Amino acid sequence: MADEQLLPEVHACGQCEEQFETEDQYLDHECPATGFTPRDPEHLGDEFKAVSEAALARGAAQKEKEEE
Amino acid sequence: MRALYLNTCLGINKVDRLYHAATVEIDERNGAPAGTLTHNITNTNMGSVDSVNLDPVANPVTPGNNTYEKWQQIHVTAMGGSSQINNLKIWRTGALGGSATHVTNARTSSYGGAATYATPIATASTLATQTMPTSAPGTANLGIGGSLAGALTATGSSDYLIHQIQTNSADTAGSTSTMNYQYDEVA
Repeated sequence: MADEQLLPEVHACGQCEEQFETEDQYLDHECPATGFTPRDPEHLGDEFKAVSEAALARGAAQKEKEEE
Repeated sequence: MRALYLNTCLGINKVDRLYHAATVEIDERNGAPAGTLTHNITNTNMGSVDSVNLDPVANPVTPGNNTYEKWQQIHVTAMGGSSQINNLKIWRTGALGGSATHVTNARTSSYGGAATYATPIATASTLATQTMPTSAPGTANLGIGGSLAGALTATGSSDYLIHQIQTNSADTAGSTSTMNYQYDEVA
């Protein structure tokens, strides 16, 4: 078990399959498959972006209702 | 589904708020520790190999055997305009083939805390021992920082979700169902 832990961690992008040594390197790469970095909602695709926007709109509407 | 509560102070207008959601992906780790962490997986197909985004047709489970465990995390890669991600809920919708069972470490009570990653196994999981819910649980069933009440206030990941399908010899190979990963996002 101790020997297993000595193996280096590898981060792979599930979209372009490029591999990185650190998470920050992964988060900062501009993915050739999507044209965005993993920090951008667009990296997760149109469906995620649409669901995210719809959820935010619902949250905003609820907040406004609570403040009335 | 998310519950979002956004501040309307500081003159933030609707357009701005629409573009300040957190960015959240599902990751999966495979192989011997530390393993390879594949970010933003495209599916959670389960089969007879320890592999991300696997081809279930090329890697079917012989009835009576188990799939390899999946070790997955909910990963917040950007907080957007949110202050907190919490209340993680995991469940499956859709039937399995025959009398196969789907087991997980996710649970709403007697949560075992954050598991330390270990090489996924195809023998019966000793960590995934509770039946996977088939509808949204009433409360969180996956922890953050080892606690079901935990929250992410900056980029980071949840505890590992471990799950495995265990089949019986009379089962028919092949079924399709959907995994659901839900979180709340708070302004």
